[in-house]
Amino acid sequence: MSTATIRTAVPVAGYQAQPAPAKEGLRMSDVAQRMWRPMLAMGAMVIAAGIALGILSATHANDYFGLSASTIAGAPADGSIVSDRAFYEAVTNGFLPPLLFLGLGFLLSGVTFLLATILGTLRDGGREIQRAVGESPVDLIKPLTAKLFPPVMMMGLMVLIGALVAGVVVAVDQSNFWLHASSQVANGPQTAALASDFSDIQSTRAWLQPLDFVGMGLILTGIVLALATIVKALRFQAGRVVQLAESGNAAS
Amino acid sequence: MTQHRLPPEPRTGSISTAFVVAGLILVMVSLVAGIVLSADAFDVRETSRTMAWLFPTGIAGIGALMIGVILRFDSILTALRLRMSAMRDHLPALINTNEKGN
Repeated sequence: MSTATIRTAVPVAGYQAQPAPAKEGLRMSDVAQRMWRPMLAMGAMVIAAGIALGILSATHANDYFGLSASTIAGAPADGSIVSDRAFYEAVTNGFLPPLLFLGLGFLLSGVTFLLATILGTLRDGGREIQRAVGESPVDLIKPLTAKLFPPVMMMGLMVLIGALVAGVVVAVDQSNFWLHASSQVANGPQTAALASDFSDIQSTRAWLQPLDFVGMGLILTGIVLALATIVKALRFQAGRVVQLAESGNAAS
Repeated sequence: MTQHRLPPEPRTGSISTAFVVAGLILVMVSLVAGIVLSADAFDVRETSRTMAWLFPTGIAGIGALMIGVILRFDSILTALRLRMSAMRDHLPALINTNEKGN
């Protein structure tokens, strides 16, 4: 089949369609078919690791906040008491929230890949039905929603990975800050250098949480675009069935 | 040709788009507020005041996006019903076409 033939658009029930190509390269749906299970598994593992870290952090918080105020106030730098606080702050107020969001992002990316697999199955099934009735198969021309959903989903995942990197940086800063003697940090930073470190931590945390939401929002937008594409594919196929039946009736 | 035979896309499709746009705006607003706040993070009063609405706004954005997803599933169900009814009404004609073709 020539390229010119492949690109000839034909209308089907208001949708632009083109003859199915004889040979195709690597398709998004083929990649998605292989990827959705690993994505779901990765998401589940990341979330399980996050829960384990949360429990570990809770034990450190229990050890630290169970002490009397005078014991905490007299805790020396790099001792076990300040280490408990440093671990708790680094995990719970550092990299744990972006890690959990990334886990959710992997799960939702798995859903997006599964939707792409469904789209591929719909297209292949549609072609088989058209061939079965002796017609040359036509495909729905890739709508804008189909072109947009893979990059939007990948962008969301990249935002979440970026947020995790920022979360790790915050965690290191938190750890360094809280490993100082309690008298220097527990009631607010006591030196200009510590105040600067604390300001950096707080200012990064202020945009880190919304960044997680933006990443999740982009992945969910990708899912909505994939679902919109499925609706278009189903409506196209309904129209094509009617068109084939009518052309058959007209011929007889 | 067959364009007039298909009913229009269900309204849930456009309502879903509205929810998705609203959700994206909310999460972007929360990010902008977070960036603005980061320049003023040492102001405890400002931080507390902003954080009080920033987190709910982010959650509301995600909630709106989730509603958009659910409404899209509803559109899919409607489109599936349409496809099933097209198959049910026209399958005999399609089979006849195939027999004549053979």
